[in-house]
Amino acid sequence: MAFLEWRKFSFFDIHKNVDNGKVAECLQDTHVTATTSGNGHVVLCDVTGWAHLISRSWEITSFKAYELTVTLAQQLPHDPYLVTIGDDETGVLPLIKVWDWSRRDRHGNPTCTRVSRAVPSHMKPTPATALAVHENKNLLAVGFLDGSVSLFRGDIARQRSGKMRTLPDTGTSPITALAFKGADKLYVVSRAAVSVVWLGVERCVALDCMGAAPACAVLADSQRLTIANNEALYVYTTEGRGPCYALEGEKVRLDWFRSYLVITRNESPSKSTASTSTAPIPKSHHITILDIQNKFIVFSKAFEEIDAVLTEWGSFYILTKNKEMIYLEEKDLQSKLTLLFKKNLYDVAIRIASSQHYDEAGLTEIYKQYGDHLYSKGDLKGAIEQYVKTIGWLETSYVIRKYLESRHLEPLVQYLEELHKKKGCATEDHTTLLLTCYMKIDQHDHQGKLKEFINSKDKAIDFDVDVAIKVMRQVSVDDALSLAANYKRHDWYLKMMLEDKKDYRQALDYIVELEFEDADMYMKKYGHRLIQHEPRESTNFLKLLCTDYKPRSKPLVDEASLSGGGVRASASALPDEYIHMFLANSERLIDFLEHMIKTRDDCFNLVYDALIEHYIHVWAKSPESEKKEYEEKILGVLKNPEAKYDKDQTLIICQMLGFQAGVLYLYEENKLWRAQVALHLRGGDAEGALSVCRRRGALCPRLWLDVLGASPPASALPELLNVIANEKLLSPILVVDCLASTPTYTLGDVRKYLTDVLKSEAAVISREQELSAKYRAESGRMKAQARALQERPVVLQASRCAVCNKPLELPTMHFLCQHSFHQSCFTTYAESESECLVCAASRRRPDAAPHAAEALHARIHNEHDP
Amino acid sequence: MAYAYLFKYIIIGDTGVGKSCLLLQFTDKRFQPVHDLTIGVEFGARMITIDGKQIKLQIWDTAGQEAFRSITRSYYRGAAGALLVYDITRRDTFNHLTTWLEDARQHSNSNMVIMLIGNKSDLESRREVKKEEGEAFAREHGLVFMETSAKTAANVEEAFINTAKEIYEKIQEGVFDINNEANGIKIGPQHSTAGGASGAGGAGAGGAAGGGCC
Repeated sequence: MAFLEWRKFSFFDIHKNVDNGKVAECLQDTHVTATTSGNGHVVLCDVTGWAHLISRSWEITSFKAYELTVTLAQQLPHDPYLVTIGDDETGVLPLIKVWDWSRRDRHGNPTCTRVSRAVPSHMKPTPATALAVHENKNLLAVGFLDGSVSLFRGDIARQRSGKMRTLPDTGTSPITALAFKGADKLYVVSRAAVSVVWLGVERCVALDCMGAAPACAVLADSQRLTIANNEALYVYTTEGRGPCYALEGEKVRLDWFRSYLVITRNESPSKSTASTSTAPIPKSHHITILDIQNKFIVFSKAFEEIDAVLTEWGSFYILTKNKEMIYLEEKDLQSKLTLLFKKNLYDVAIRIASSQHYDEAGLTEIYKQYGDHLYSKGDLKGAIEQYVKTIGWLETSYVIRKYLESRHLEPLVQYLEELHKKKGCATEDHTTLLLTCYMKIDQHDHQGKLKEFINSKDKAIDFDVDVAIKVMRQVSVDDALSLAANYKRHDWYLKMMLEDKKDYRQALDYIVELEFEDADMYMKKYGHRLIQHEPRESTNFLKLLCTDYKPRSKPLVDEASLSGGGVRASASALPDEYIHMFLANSERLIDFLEHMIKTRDDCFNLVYDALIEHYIHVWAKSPESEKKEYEEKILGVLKNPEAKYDKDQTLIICQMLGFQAGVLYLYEENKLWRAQVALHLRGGDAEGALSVCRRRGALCPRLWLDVLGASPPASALPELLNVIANEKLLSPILVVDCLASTPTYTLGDVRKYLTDVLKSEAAVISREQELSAKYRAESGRMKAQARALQERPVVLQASRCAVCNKPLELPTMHFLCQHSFHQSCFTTYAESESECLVCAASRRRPDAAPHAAEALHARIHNEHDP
Repeated sequence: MAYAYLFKYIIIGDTGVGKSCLLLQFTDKRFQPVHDLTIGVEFGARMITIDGKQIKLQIWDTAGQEAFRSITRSYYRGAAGALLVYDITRRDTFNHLTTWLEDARQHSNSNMVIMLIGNKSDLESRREVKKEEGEAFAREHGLVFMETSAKTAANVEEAFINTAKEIYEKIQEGVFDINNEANGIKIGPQHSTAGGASGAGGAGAGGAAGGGCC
C-alpha cells in the first residue's frame, strides 16, 4: 500500500543521545507514565511518583510528586505551572496537584500550590484518564475511565478556589483525550465517540461515532481536533467532521508541532498480516511526520519502542523505552529546497517555500530554476508559466532572450502578456516586442491575435497605448487606427488618418464625434490640412464649431436641459483662431466668416478684417460683371456701424488691391479729404475731385487748391477759379502761374477769371484812392489844431462843471479841450488825472466813429498779403 | 459568514476522473495539471446564492481508490448531494458507475440528490464514452447529467449549483427534514435563532439536538 501515500521526503536529521545519557541515569529502572512540555521545560513523570523537570541544558530537577504514581501531567505553555494527577494512596479518588516550579522550597523542589480531588460523576474511586488545562489558568478538565468529565473553573493555582462540575452527556466509554478550543469549547474524545462541549451552556454535541485510543488525539493549530484510528486520521472542527487522511497502522501516539503532525505507529513486520498481528514480539515503533498543509510525509522512520514524543525547544525529541533521547532536527529551508531541486521537485519546493513564508526573491529564484528545468526538458509552455511568476523580480531579458533564440513565440507572447498585466513592469520595448510577436503569429496562421488585442476594450492587458500605436502604425495603419479609436488617442488617429491614409473626410468625420475641447484642439492642429482638402465640409464643420457645437453622437437635447437644470452653455470656439487656416481659400473663408458674423454678435476685429480682406481679394479676382456685387458687399460691411474692423489696415488692403470705392469710403470716414481728392485726381476723375471739394471745401479750402495744382481739365476750371476767386484762396498771380504751367489751357478758359480779377482790382484801387484823399484831409486838420494849441493861448471860458453842470466853484480843473470841472467832481469820476473826463468817455464809446488814421492802421494790420 | 442553508456534498467516482480538480476549480477557480493523489477525504467550501439566499456548500472530495472505500463510505451519510464523476476518456470509469451508485444509495439517506458528471469534456479527441450514453445512464437511474471540464471550467459551476438548486427545491417541497442534520442540510445561524435553543456560545450549533450520527 506504500504507493497510496503522500509523497515522502526526509526533512529531519536524527541526532542520537543528545542528553549524554542523563535522562537514562535519572530514570534508571522505572518507566515513564506521563510526559509534558512547555515554558522551556520538558517534564517526565515516572511510575514511582517522581516528576523530573528537564531544562534545555539537560539539568534535571527531580521531586517526589505522589506517594504512589503519577498518571497524567500537563505543563502550561507560558507559565511555570505543572498540573499532575496521580495517587498518594490506593482506592481513593485521584489527586490533582498544581506545582509552581518558579517557587522552590528549601530542598529546591517546586512548591505545590494546590491539591484537590478529581471527582467523577459518582463518588466511586475511578482512575482519571485525560487532563486538559486551559492556557488562561482558569479552566481545568479531567476525564475519567467511566466516561464522565469534570470541569473546574477558577484559578487553578489557588487552593480551594472555584468549583467542580460534571459535564452532561459525555457517554460512558473511557475518556481518552480532552482539549480546550478557546475558552468556550471543549473537545471530548472517548473510546467510542468524539464530541464537543459548549461550556457556556454545558451542552454536549456529538461530532462522530468513533473514538480514539489514549494519546491518539491532538488539537492541531489550536483549532482542529485530529484523531487517529487504525485506518486513517480524521480532522474535526466544532462544526463536525472535516477531511481525513488515510494512514494505516495501529497508532500509538499523535503529536502536533508547528504544522506537522507526528504519528507514532506500531511497526508491523509484515504488511500482509497487519490486520491479524497481535504478536507482541517485534516491539518497534514507526514515526511518521506529516506536513498537513502541503500534504507531504516529511519524515518516516522506524525506531525501537518509544515512550514519548516531546515537542519543545523548537523541535522533536523522542524518548525511547530504553531512555534514550533522540533529537530530530528539522533541516533548514535551504537544504530542504536543495533536496527537492535534486529530485527536480520544483513544484513541491515552491509549495514548501511559500508555506514557510520564504521571501519573494527566494521564491522567484525557485520559479526561475523550475522554469529553466522545464525549458531544458523542452516543456516551453510549462516553463513560461513559471517564468511568469518571476515577473517583477527576474530580469525580463533573461526570459525573453531565451525564447527569442529558440523562436518560440507563443510562450513568449504569454509571458509578455502577463508582463503587461502587472502594473508598471512592461516598458515600451516590451510592448513593441509583444506587438511584433502578435504580428508574426498573425502572418503565420491568421489567428487575428492582434485584432483581439486591439479590441480588448476593457484593457485586460495593460500596455502603453502610445507605444502600441506607434508600432502598429508601421505595420498596419488600419489596426493602429482602430487601436487609437478604442483608446481615444485622437491625436494619433487624426495624424494617421491624415498622414498615412490621406482620408480627410474620414478624419473630419472623426472630429465631429469628439467633445468640444478635443474637437477645438484638433481642428486647430489639423484644420489647415482639412480645409485644404475638404474645403466645403471642413468649413461647415468649423461653422458649427464656432457657433453651437455638440458632438454628433450626443443627443440633440441632453438631459440637463430637458430637466430644466439651467441652460447649458454651448461651447463655441473663437473664429479668429481658424481664419489663418483658410489661407488662400478666400471663397470658403468668406463663407465661414459671413456665417460667423451673421450668427455671432461678438466677433472680433480680426474676423471683420479678414472678411473684408478676402472680399477684396475675391473682388479683385472676379470678372468685371461680378465686381459690382462684391463691391456692394464690401461697402456694406464697411458701412455697417457694428463691424469692428481696423480702418487703417483695411485702408492699406484697399490701396494695395486697388479697391477704390473702399479707399474713398475710408478716406471719407477718416476725414482725409485731401487724400480723397488726390486719389480722384490720380485717377483723372476731376469731377469726383470737385464733388469732394464741393462737399468739403467749406471746411477745407485747400482742397480746391489741390485740384488746381493737379492741372484739372479745362472744363473744371471755371468753377474752380470762381471758388478760388471768391474765397480769395490764392493770389491771382499765383493762380496764373499755376495755370501757365499747364500748356493745354487756352486763354478762353481763364478769360472770365482774369477779367473778374482785373475788375475787382480796379475797384479796389479807386476805393483806396478815395480813402487816401480823405485821410490826407483829416491829417491836415489835425496838424492845424496841434499848431494852434502850441502857438495860441487857450481861453477857458466854461462857467459850468462838465460833470454836474453847476456853476464852477473853486477849486476847479481846466483842460485844453475847453472842459472844466469841480475838482471834487473830477476826482470822483476821473480814472486818470491827465485825461479829460468827457473826451476820454467819448473816445471810449464803442459807437464812436473810429478815427480815420486808426482805422487805416487797423486795416493795414489786419490785411495780410495775398 | 452568515448563510441561510448549509448543504453537504460528496464527490465520488473512480480514481483519476478529476474529482479533486472539479473541487479545486469550483472553490479556487484554478486548475492544477499535476494533482497529488487524494489520500482519504479532502474538504472544500464555497458560498453560492440561490433564489436570493446565501447557501454554503461544504464539499467532501473522496479518494477514488478501492483501498480507501471503507473510509470514504462513512462520509456518504450526512451528505445532501453527491456528484458521481466518471472520465469520458476512460470507459472503465463509466462501467464502474453502477457499483458507485449502489454504494451511494446503500450508505446515504434516500433523498440524496445525485448528479452524474462526465468530466474531461475538453479532451474530445480521446473520448471513449459518448454523451448519449451518459444521458441514458442518468435517465435510467433518475440522475441529473452534465458533462464538465475541470480544466476549462466548463459547466463546473453549473454542476454544483444545479445540484444545490435541486436540493433547495426538495427543501421547499418538504422532502427533506431540514432539522435532521444527518440529511446533510443545516439551517444557517440567522434562521435558528428563532428557535431560541442556543445561548451565548451556541452560534454554530444550530437547532439540532445533537446525536446526528449512529
